Amino acid sequence: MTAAIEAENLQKVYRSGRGVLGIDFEIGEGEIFGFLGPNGAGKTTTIRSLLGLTHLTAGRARIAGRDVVRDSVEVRRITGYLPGDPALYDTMTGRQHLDLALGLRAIRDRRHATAIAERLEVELDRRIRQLSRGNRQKVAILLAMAHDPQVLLLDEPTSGLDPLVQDAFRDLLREEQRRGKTIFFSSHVLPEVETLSDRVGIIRDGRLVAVDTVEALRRSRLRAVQLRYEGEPPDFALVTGVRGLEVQGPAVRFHIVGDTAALFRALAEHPPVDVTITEPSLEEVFRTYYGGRPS
Amino acid sequence: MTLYRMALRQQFVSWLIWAIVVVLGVATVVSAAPAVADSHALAALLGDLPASVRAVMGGTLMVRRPLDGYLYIKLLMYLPLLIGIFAGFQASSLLAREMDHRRFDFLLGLPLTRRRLLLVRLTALVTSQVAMWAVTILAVIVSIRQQGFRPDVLGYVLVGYSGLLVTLATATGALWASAAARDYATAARWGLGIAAVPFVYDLAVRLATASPGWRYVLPYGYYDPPHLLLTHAFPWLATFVLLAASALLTYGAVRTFEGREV
Repeated sequence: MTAAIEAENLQKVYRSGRGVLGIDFEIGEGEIFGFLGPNGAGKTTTIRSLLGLTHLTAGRARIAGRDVVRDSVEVRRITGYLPGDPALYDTMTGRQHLDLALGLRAIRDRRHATAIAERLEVELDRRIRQLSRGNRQKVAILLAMAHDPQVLLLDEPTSGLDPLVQDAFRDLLREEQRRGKTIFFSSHVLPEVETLSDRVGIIRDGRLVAVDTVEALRRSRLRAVQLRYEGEPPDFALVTGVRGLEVQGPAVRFHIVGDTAALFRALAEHPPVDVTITEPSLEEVFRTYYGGRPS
Repeated sequence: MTLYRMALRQQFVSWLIWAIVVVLGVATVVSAAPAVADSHALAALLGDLPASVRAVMGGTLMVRRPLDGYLYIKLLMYLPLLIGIFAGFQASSLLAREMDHRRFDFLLGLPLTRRRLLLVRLTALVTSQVAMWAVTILAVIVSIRQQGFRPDVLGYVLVGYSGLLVTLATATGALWASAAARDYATAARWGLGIAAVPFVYDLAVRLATASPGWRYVLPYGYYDPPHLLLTHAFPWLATFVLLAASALLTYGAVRTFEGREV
């Protein structure tokens, strides 16, 4: 597969010492790559570096074979970019933003833009200041996709969208993928990345700690389990996949990794009065998989 | 919607407010014209003042053309300061405010160089400056005519042109400050300082008359309405020096903007 996005030792270090501390990855054409990490991990800096919006400390990146620094304008011509928390112009309408974005790219054919606007029900004729956060996000998504770019760089794209629009947006991305588009999107929500991506990169404290397929992530999937018993709880220490067991009186807490069959057998033998199984926080994922310290 | 039109739109409301203030100010000052047009009392008063003060207040103009001399000391002398402050604020908002609001991610995500973005915004700023001076000078000419006098149209056009050169230098200086400042508040303070400090310095040097040549280091030194009104001489020196200074300051602003994080 030809690489649509390549990063080699990508470094952007701010005066605080934070940023992106040298990451490498390669994303193939037509791939959806989820970029997962907690807030402040370096997701936004990575995306802005890929677009040449920030001055790299070291390393290089290419999009569709073009150097993001030397060929920055051309890279932005073939790329659609959705900033995290996009700041648009309050007194302008979505349509005026769209006119500007398409005008600068000398695009006259608006069929693709119109189709996306209709699917996401974007309110194009109201001023940005009159729109809710979700509706602003829809305008920003439209601006990123309107010119039918080869590569999409999306920073927390579903932020602020209601669940129905999130579904429509995911369907849209899958269609774009079928049309051969490459999609790189960041998120701090594990299930979202799981449902959409072919591969996932996990960034923490500016370093790429893992790049894996979603299947591999699912195989080692982590869940947080809380149980409550009427009396003394049974010992779950020997149940397959249990990590980080904590017992406080009648309450038991632990994480379970991968297959849950052994856990359910144990629960059938020792039924609790209350069960809660939740998705873990990213910090819990990092602690469990990568032995990292909490940030 | 083009980038240029967008930049003009962003400046329009503040432009309109300043234009209204300036036009009202002009009309108010000129409304006193009949009282001073034929009066030589002001000229007589000037005669008692020290030579340096007389020079600053356009003594020769006052003696030969009392109405224009009166308009100079009440209005023309302060116009580049007033419009310069407007230009300074406008220029400082062009980059620094956008960076404060993190709006450049949208614009710089488009296939557009920072240089082009800055130059388009500067072009819009120049347009608004030209329009501001045109409206101001037109207001002066129309107001004088309304009061029943014949305005010196060519003289006032030259005054407006020279004032425009001064405020362009001010605006490009403020634009550089805007590209370098860490936030909009800092940029706005710089914009105000760039407009006001040279004016005060120039006035101080003229009053002290210690070394009048020094005033040509700063933009207001090139702005001498009494001379323009009396001679109608095209201000070649101001044109060359202030346009060159504006070009240099623009270059500095571009380099600074290209080199910084947004």
